[in-house]
This record gives sequence, C-alpha cells and structure tokens, in this order.
Amino acid sequence: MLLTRRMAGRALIATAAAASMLLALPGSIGPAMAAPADEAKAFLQELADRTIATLNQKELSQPQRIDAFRSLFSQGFDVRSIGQFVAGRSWTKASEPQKVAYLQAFEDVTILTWALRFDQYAGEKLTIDRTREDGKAILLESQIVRPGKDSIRVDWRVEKGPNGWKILDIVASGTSLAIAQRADYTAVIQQNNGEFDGLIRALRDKRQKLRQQAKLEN
Amino acid sequence: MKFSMKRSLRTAALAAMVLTAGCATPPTDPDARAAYDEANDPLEPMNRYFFEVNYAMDQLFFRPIAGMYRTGVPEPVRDAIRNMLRNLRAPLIFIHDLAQGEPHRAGVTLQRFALNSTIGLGGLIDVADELLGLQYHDEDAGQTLAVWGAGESFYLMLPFYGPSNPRDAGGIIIDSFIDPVSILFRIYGPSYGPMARSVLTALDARSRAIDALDEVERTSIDFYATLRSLYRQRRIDEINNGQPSGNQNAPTIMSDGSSPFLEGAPSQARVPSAVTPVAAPMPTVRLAPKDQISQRPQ
Repeated sequence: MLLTRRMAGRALIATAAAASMLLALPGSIGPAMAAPADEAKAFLQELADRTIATLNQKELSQPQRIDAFRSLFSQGFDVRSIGQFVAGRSWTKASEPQKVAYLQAFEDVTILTWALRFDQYAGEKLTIDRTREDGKAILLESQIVRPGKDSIRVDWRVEKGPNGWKILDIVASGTSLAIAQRADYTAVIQQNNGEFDGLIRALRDKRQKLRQQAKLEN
Repeated sequence: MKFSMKRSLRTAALAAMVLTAGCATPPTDPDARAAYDEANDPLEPMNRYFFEVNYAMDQLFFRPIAGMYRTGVPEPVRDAIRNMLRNLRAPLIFIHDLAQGEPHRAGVTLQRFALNSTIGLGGLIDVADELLGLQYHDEDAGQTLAVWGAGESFYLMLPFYGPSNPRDAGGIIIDSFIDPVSILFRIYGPSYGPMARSVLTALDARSRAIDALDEVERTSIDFYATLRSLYRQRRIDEINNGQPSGNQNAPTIMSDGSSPFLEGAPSQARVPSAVTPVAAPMPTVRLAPKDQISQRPQ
C-alpha cells in the first residue's frame, strides 16, 4: 500500500517534471540567454540587497531576525552539499542515520552561527569586481567595505543546481571557509578515535551553546 | 670537560625525549592516514601543548592589552602608528619584491617609501595609497623562500609567535638579520628602537585580529585545527600575492540536488530543507521542540 502510494507519487512528479521541461524548453532558447557569470552576479547582488533590506528593519526582534536570516540563508546556500564536503572522508563510511543526524546538526549550527553574526553586517557594502570560472562553479570576486575597518577581499563560489544558484563556499582573503571547516571536523573525528558520532555529538553541543547565546532557550 | 660532556649528553637525551613525546604516531587506517597526511602536523601533541600555553598567555595578557589599546587609542592614531610601522618595513619588502622577481611590486614599494617618508611625515600618513592608490603589500623571507621552491615541511606552533612552519620560522630569523631598518637601529640606535617596534607591531596586529580570532574560536569546534588550516591557506595566498592558485578542492552541488542517502523515503523528505522554495512559510525558531530549531517537513 505504502509502496504503491510512493510509486504513484513518483510517477506524478515525473510527469510534472516532463511537462514543465516541455513547456520551458522553447522559452529558454529565447531572450533568457544571459551568460552564467552575469546570472551568478545578479543572484549574489540580489541576495546581498535583500540581506541589507532585512538588516534595516530595526523593529525585528532577535527570534524574528534569526527567522529572517534562516530564510535568506536557505535561499542562498546549499547547506547540504557544503555539509557533505566538510564531513571529509568520513562521509562515505557514515551510516544513513548518521548522515541524517549530522546534516541536521550541521545545518542548525551553520544557520545559527551566521544569524548571530547578523548585527555585524550592518553598514557593510558588497561590490563584485570580477568573475571567473572554475569548472562547474563561478567565483565572484568581491570587496566588502566595512565602516571603520579595512575592507576585505571575498570570493564567493556559486554553482547552478536544480534549485537555482547556490553559494557553496566563501573565500575570505584567500582562506576558504569550507576547507577550514573540513580541517576542523576531520580533527574532531580524529580526536574521537575516528568515530563519526563524535562529530555529531560535538555539533549538537555547539548547537546547544549557540542557542543559549541567541537566547532561544526557554 | 667530562662534566660538560655529560651535560650535553643529558641535554641531547632530553631533547630526544621531548621530540619523541611530541611526535604523533601515523595511523594505519587508510582514511585516517590520509587525514593525517593532509594535516601535515607530525608534531601535533607538542604543537597542541604550545598552543595551549600561547592561548592562556594570550587570554591573560595579550588580548586584554590589545583590547585596551583598541578602545583607549583613537582610530586615527592607531592608523598612523600602523602606517609608520609599515613604512619601516618598506626597505625589507623592497628586497623581497626583487628577490621574488617582482619588479613592478618593488617599484610600488619604492614609490610608497619615498612618498610616505617625506610628504607622509615619516610614514605617519599613507599618502601613496590615498593620493595615488599605491596599495601596501607585505613580504617576508618565508614567502621569498617559498617562491624559490621551499615547501612548508610541516606545521609548527612556535611558543609566543604562534602558527608557523620550519620555512617561515627560518624566515623570521633571516629577516631579523637582513632588515635594513633593524641594521640601522643596531648601528645608530636608539637601543630601545627594535623592542619598541616589535611591541607596537605585535600590539597593532593583535588589536586588529581581536574580532576575527574571537569569531574563529566561537564558530569552530577544534580551534587548533581550524587555525592550522587558516594559517596554511593564508600563507599560500600571501605567497601567491592574492592570485588564485586554483589547485584546492571545493564543495560542489550534489548531482541532482536530492540527498542520495534518503533514497526510498517519501518524496517530500527528499527536498533538502536548505533549499525549500522562497514561498515556504517562515520557520519558527523559538517554539521548536528541544532537538530541532526549525520546523521542517518530516
């Protein structure tokens, strides 16, 4: 029963996907032929603009801000692909439930971390200077101008996937966040005698701490 | 004679003991071995020990002092001090620009030094950058050695100095000998000159890194391992003068956007929550059950 329902669901999705592809195809050869680099640039600039607009909403409470940020973040970043990358070699050896538990904790920690930094972005300006291709990805080279501080050079690694453009890595002054995080997580697993569960535990602890910082605990 | 011989033998034995104790044993498991090689940190136990000491010292003294400096000294004054310190480094940077075969960058350094030392009131004002856009860049002997082909060998946590490697540590020593300004200080004084310069340089660097380092500590799980990666990446970037090296791997979108490990689960759950459509209702954070901070399709 369950199986047939699932299969029916899949068939429906397949039909819908086929239909939408048929409908979309003729249109895509038309005017929407923007270069991928321009598309990527527009995507990032738009995301930055929306972030600034959210920042300017002074009346938002802390939980509302985190909500708003979570939504912006979900649209902008492919957290799962990033999570898989930063898990490093252990990913392939982890069991399915471990993967699910890890990704859940990773996503929560990532979003809370960024959301708590939210206030720091006030007054910052993003200018995209150059774009360059790197395999499937496009690297958007930008400058972030910060009031009262030195501006920083930030490269955004973006890729177009089935859910549109997504950010996969942020490279600040030549240091990749994803690579640093992978080094971090690899060390955590090593310190736990190679057990993936050690990383999941550490991430859950981190989530707890971040929630307390965000005063989301009741 | 006999006594000193015995003593040096004892010192050698002690040194050997410290080194052996400081060495990590390479793991046998292939994945663990690959991670071990990637970390390139055979002295990890010793390095972690020095890291703890450095960290404690930093939290007790350096960070608080740097914090006082940042709040107590107005920004324009701090910027002027940094400009002056950078200007004092210009002759050394010029040497390294040339040694690395970068005549254009050497020219920039030379022009900056000429302008800032004169119109810039002895380096206090960075007129070269403000008027002509001649931006500051740093170089050191570690970078020059790298350009000449020297690898980092392995990671090294220096007491007091922090993250390094044999190449860069050697570079610090080389620079202390060849830096023209250091030589001038030694010949003409004042005697407190080099010390004052070192203290100010450390103060300036630490005060400007307060927020960034706090952030790394707050967001990482293993602070030591994260700093190791950041230091290494930063050095590669400095050696390449900010140009992409292009040989690092990076995350990529998983082929079809679905989660392969959720195969067979109801289709709803296969849509990663991180990429839910824009129109999805805002998740509530505060009222969520203990183990989840958001509502997501189950």
